[in-house]
Amino acid sequence: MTFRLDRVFASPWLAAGGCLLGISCTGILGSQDDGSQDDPEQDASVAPDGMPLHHMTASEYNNTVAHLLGTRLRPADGFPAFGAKGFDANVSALSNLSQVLVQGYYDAAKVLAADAFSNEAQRAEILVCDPAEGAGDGCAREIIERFGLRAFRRPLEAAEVDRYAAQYTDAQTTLEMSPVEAVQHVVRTLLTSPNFLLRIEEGPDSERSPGALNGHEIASRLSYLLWSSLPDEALFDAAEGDQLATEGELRQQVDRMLADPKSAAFFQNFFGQWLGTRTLPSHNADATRFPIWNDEVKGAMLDQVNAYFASFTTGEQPWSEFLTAPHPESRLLEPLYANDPEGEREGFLTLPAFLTLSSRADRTSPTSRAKTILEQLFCVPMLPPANVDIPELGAAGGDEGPIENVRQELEKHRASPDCASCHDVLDPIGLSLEHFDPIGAYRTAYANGDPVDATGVYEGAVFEDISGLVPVLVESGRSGRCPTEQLFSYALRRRPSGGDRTRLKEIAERWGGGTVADLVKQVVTSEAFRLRAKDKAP
Amino acid sequence: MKRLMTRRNLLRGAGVCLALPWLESLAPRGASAGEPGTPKRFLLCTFPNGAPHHWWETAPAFGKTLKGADFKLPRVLEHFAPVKSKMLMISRLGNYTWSTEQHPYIEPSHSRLNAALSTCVDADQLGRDARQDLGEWVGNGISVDQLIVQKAGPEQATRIPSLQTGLGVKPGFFDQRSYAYNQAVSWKSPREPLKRSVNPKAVFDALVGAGAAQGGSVPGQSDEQTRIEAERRAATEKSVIDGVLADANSLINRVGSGDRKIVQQYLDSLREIEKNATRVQSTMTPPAGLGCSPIDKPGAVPEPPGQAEGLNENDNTEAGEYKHDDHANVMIDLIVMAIQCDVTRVVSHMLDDARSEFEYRCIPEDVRAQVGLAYRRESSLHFHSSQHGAGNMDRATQDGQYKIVQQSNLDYAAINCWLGQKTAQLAQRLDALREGDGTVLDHSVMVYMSEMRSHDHDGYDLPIVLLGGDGVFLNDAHVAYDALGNDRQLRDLWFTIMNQYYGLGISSFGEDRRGEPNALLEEILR
Repeated sequence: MTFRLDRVFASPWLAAGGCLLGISCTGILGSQDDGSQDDPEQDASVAPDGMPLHHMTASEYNNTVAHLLGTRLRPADGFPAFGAKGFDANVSALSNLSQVLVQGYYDAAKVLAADAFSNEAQRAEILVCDPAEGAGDGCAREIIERFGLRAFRRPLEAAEVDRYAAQYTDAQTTLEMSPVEAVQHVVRTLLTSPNFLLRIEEGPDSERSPGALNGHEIASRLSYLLWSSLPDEALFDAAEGDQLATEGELRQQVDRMLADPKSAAFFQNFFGQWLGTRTLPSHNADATRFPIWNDEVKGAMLDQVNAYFASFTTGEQPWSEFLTAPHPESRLLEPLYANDPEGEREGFLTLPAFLTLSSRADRTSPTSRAKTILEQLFCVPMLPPANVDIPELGAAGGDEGPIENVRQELEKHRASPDCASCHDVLDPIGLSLEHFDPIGAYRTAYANGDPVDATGVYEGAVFEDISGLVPVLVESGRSGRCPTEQLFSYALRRRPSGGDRTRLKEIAERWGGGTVADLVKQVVTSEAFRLRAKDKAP
Repeated sequence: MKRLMTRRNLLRGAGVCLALPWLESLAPRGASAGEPGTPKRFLLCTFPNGAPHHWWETAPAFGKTLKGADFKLPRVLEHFAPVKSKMLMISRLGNYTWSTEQHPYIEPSHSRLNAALSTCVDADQLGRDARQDLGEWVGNGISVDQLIVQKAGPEQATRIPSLQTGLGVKPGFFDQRSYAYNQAVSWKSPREPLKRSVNPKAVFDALVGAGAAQGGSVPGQSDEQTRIEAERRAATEKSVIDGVLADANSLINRVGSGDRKIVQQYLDSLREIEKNATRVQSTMTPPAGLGCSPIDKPGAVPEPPGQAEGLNENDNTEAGEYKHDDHANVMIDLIVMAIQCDVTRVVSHMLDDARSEFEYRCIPEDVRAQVGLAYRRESSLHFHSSQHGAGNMDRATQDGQYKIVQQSNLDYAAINCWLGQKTAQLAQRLDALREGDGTVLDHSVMVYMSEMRSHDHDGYDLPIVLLGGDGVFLNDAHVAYDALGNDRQLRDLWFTIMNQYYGLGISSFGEDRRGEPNALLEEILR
């Protein structure tokens, strides 16, 4: 691996108890997961190749009910937030399935069913026949089968159809409901079922490809990966015909699905959670210092960064250009580019969205910028040293006035040996971006008149600013390991385990920093994604 | 700045507190504890990120108590003036003896201290003991409010066993741990955090669902009709739950052991819902005289989607521009409504999430003036930044107080003053409700406190106010315990409330790795 940081981190001062940095990303490449990461509960439930039971995230819930019912309600916005680190989907269901959340599901199902039946168009989608017509429960059974297939994302078993049909009949006799009300009641129950909220891969295997997951299981894995929602008609049809069994079929579906506008959920959720851009709507800059800042500009930043991601997801842009590709144009953001010197601003690191998100409201944070680069883009986790009280720079909002010259303040900070161990690594990277203010506008001086100094030395090489550092970072990222791990983790809804190590290396090598679509294809055609886990054989 | 507290120091402190003989110490002071049949209530109102030094500016010297006219309100708590006669400040209590480090400086402080606020145990250590990744681990002790719910007996039971509300629309970094440590103070069981709801509409719906809107019979409907209607509603819910339980039971027999736990957990939660949803209501009536008048249905405030995400002041939402002050006020209305309609008697209200990133641009000029802060329009009043702004209170003491090296910045103080104002408003509202020989506030224990001390993130010297207390606790007073080393612990406050106010006969609460047993806080009892 050519990544120079690992040599920096292996320096003696680190061993002496300085900054606790490990080179393992999601806990797989380093040595630490060999011993300390054993997790009995996890081992019991997840075979090395498996995917944990699928528990819908908030955004998956909202998307699923939107596509299933045509509703505009977003009930999951009121559910408890998940998550500690990593992707939302990687949080274990066991720790999140609290009483409060189940109550949320219960109430949401009631509201969603009522909403679906109060709207003519929505109701018509469910009522494929008139349940009031004819004797018996023939029509109700058809509705249950058709709606149930989409809600459970698999065909209902005969016994399930019988149970729901009995509930339908009972609702009319004992609860005195009309036939349509009784259907609404059944729909509400289906939306409360664990088969809707959890997705359990029970088999059987694909007939065409024994040992692999069946069509419906793969269809859902694909649709939640690329759309954060349930499969569409085409996927259900392919699932029914067991036509998601070969690598060619999977690649074809990936192309089709990425071309669908629903794939916006992929770059919003995958990139948004990986690179943190989903927090942009909540970010606030100090408009008294940066008068350009307002909600419209913030929205334009988000649109721009999403367009940037999209160029890698659906276009031909190879990932190796992620730090050097041209920026999508944005009229609202022009003022931020107005003072740029000759030579085009390029790459992810100088996008206003990244520069803003990695800053405080009133000043830049070179530490935060460097930390994001190392942790997110290079999968180098950083932990603050234990038992060191990390002081803030100067006084924020106090009576001593704002911080003007961040570099000066950081130098004071670095004077402490406790701080130096981390900041010696972080600061040159973060300070290289100092020409960009907290909302990403180019500057040559701080508000107090001090000239901006973005120079630095990295591994003995002197650079003037970020443009001099980018080639080093590009070279370091050439292995493609980090994006591979991130996408693998997102697709499999878990952090990679030690057993995935070889597989990840192979995927990264086969991919070779090509397009994101290529990487998706490499991951979905991998054994981990396609095959049934050993302990989960039906 | 951080000096190690030696084990010897701690042990030296340990010998000082002599527990009273066992049985006597656990017998509640029934004679003064209100009329029989008077409802007991517990309200835990928490604010994150500690308090400014101004909080202690009128504190008595270590080990002393100030009462009545000698007890003066600090400027940041001046909004409590109308209820000062029902107020007890408790200072120099710590909450750190549960930590393996045996050190009042807890790392990472926001999540671990907030987790320990109501449980006095080390959530991280529990995770390590269970050999779990701390980034995924969700576990803690049972919290004081939930223990009260579980042990207080049927005469205190309400349709909503306890209510968890909050105002945290912009939580900060979760210290690489679960949301549960920063966004919950109520723990129903060791694996079950009860997350606070910030959404007034959801809280309102829950209150109405529990019957808070039905002050009595519905006009134009006979009791018989009301009963039939209620039975039909219950039967409908039961039909849904039966259908879902059939699905869950069928699933549970087919999945692997790991997945089975998850389905089982879903099944258990459903059975809990079943208990409430299928009960034919109107078996309980609100206490006479309190009245039960539901407020108008409030608008929705969305839950923040994750760390560092959520709303800023003036952000556009579906319900219009977001105004934090309005949000705080409607939540007070809802808590009062819940109490007034007696649908709950236990409330935990997080005035903000731990390590909040919210910018308190909402704080009005008069509140800023209260702390002598000139109105600065440009001040962002970012909570966590201001906590880290100017201010340094030493561990060393001087004239019976901790020595202030540098006074707290006024942004931090203004935020504290506003949080106090909102809590004082709630206390006043409860005090306006007459009940028996006093007011609802009199018949409640309301605690207003933070999980940490101040700028320093420390787990000792916590800012704590207790209101009401039903004749069990001192009022109109400020009790200070001794300095670090000889200080007392928060777990003893919870122990005292549970045993003296509720008479629960709890033998031990929280953890003390020095091996100290719980002991009553005698000084705060009347």
